Amino acid sequence: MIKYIIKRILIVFIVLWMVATLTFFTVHVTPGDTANAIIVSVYGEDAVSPETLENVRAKFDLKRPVFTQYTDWLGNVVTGELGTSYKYNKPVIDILKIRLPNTLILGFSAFLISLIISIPFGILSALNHNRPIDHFSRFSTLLLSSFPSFWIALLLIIIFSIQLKVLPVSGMAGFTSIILPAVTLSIGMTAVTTRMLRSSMLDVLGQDYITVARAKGLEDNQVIFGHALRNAIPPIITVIGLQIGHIIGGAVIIENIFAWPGIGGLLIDSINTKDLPMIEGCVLIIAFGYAIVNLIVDITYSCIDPRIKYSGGDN
Amino acid sequence: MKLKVKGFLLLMVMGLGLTLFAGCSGANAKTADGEKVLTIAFPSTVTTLDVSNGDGATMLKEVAGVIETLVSVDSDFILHPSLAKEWERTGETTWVFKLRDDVTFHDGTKFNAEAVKWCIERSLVENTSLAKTTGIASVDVIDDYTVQFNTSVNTGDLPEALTNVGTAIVAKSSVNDKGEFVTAVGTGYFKQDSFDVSSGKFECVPYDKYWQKVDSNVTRRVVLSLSDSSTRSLSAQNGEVDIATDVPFSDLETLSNKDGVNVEKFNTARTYFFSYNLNKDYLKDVNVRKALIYAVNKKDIVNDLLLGVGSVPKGIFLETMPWANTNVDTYEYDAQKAGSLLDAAGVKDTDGDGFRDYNGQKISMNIITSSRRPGNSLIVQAVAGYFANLGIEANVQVLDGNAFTEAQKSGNFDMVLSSAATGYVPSASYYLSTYYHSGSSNAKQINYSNPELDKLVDACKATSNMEEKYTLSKQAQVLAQNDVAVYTIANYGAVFVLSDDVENFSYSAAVHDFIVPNETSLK
Repeated sequence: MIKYIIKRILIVFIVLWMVATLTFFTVHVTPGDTANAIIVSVYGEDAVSPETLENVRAKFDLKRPVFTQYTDWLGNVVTGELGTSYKYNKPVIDILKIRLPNTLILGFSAFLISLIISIPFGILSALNHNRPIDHFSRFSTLLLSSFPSFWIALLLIIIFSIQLKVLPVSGMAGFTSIILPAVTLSIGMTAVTTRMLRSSMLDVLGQDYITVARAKGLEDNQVIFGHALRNAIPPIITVIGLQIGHIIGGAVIIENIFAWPGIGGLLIDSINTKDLPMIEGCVLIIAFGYAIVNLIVDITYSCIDPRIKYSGGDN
Repeated sequence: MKLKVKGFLLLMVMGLGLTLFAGCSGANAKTADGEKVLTIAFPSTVTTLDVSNGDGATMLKEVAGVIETLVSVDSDFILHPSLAKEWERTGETTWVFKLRDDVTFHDGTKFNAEAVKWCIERSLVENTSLAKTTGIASVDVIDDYTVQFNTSVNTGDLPEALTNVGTAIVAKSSVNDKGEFVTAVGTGYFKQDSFDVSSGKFECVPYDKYWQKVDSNVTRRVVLSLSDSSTRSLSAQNGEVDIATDVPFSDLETLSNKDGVNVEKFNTARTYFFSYNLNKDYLKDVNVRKALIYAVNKKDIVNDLLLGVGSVPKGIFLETMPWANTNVDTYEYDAQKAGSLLDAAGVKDTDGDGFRDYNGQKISMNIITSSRRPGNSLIVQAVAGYFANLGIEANVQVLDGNAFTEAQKSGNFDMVLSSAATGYVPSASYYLSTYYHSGSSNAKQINYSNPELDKLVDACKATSNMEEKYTLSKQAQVLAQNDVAVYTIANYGAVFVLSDDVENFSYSAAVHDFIVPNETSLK
């Protein structure tokens, strides 16, 4: 087990290096002059001139060959230095320290909402196979997962903020401001998890040991929660791990719409301004989070289902 | 197997109800704790309060009213003393400014010549564009309340340049020991109360030792960084913000019909303008350029496409600018004349395919623009349509900021639609020297040069005699408009969504973005 974890951690670092390298060169091959982007974002588009472009190139040392910039940057990352943001003119790590907790709060809230809704709905749907609540559950999850998240965001804003005036449109000020972004972000995940749990539960409920448990006279609750749900959970854990990626990807859009000050919005802003150190910082954090969550998922697997053993990285 | 479906649904409904209740109880209140809170949506994300940063300085000076410049400019583009009482040009490259002696910074320290020298010289280092914009090379302290500005070029525009947000004065205590800008300690009517760097939310309260009398009942200003235009619109509809600008054109009708908010349109000093690429042979003929302008119905573009947000230009500058020359040819829509001019210039359909040719080659124009401004893509598509009616094929490319810059640099275009602030420095020469002068990057890119125009613009920039300045500028505008290498197609409009509660708000085109006057109050 320990050997497996060490091996996975090494793979995490290799993944991070590959992601960072790919991001670095992708940003460099995209059209556009970095110096121009910095001037527009920091001083405004009216400040662009040959002189200011030269000044900015000199200030941020942008005239170095791309490969030299890459090796310099990589050397700094290894020592824990993510560089200085062109736009913020502050260390990237300082900005990430401020923004990351906000994204974690949003992501965790969305995750929680998703579980609170999907677990009961998935179980109810399976237990009421082909009855009205099952049809409702399947139809509603299909419907909600079909809509793009930005559209759902605007719809929720119009209903709850504009018409009912019970929730704020944007910002991060107190409990109420997280409701709409978290609900929006959770919808796609809720739909997938509900459908997966329903399917997994149906599969388990048809197993012989469930019939035996019932024949032994166990109560419904004991059968459902003690036997069926426990065995239906492992596939859901995998899906939840993968859904973390959905949450991070969704946060990029949702944070922008709701003006939620997390790293999703920061990443968009950094891409628009070609703030390479900040883009790299955001991407590394996101990739690291994704890799770690999936590592945890794999480890959790063995705890939930002891039949699963790790050997040489396969399960 | 009995199912507790009803119980489950009941729990869900209760949860939703609790959530909504929590929402209601947390609703925003403009008069919380007896305060009159004016909330303003700022259309960019403020990441720092450093006055060397464009967004930070613009928000602090124009929207929050925390920092001030030595010179101010009113809505008629006339200069007024602000932190400086008076000024005088003492040489081709020297200016002396007398400062007010009754001003204190928000930390209680005196505003004086040393503070001006420290702040301007710091901004020159931190803001790489400031030296170019203002021409300032250094600042000398003459006495406690007198400074001398030394410029690197012969410029008569220094007082105008000193209205720019980048020259706002802050106290030394704004910066910590490491040289990092930590707090905006200015001289304005409002002083900083808090800044959340994470969200860009800024709050300020009135400064009781402000040097001017201000009549306003606002006890707090809150500036929210809302970079998404739809979010600004929705926040205004919801009453979360009292003042919002640059909302999507598509929302105007909804907003106009909404109770509790007013939609107001103003003309800004920003313009949408075309630059022709004179490296293209057929565009070297001035009559071809004129024909292409005659072919475009400017009124329809402003009224139908921009939904009245903007105006039809009467020249290069907004007519309210004192140096604007409106006695210039504006090439009003005349499709027939456009056709005749093209025929006379030899741009004709020679092979009967329905498209005009030049030297036996079909003309296929490439019109590029940036996606940054809301009207850009609408205008270029309409213009391509007008050209098609004229028998000229035109392809349109709407590019994001960086790709747009690269496309401009590559020279692979026939026409480019840009947007610029003609009053970025509110002087008669600034815009002409930045976009029309042969030394400007715009003129170089399109290979435009008119030595007579250059001479007039240089003279206009050098003189500090306003009458002479305006006369020279007006002469230069005639030449520029006759050359039509750069042509203003529409004046950029600004839409403001104001809460019914807002009083004493007035718009001024003479600022970089938009200004919320100190006197703005709430009912």
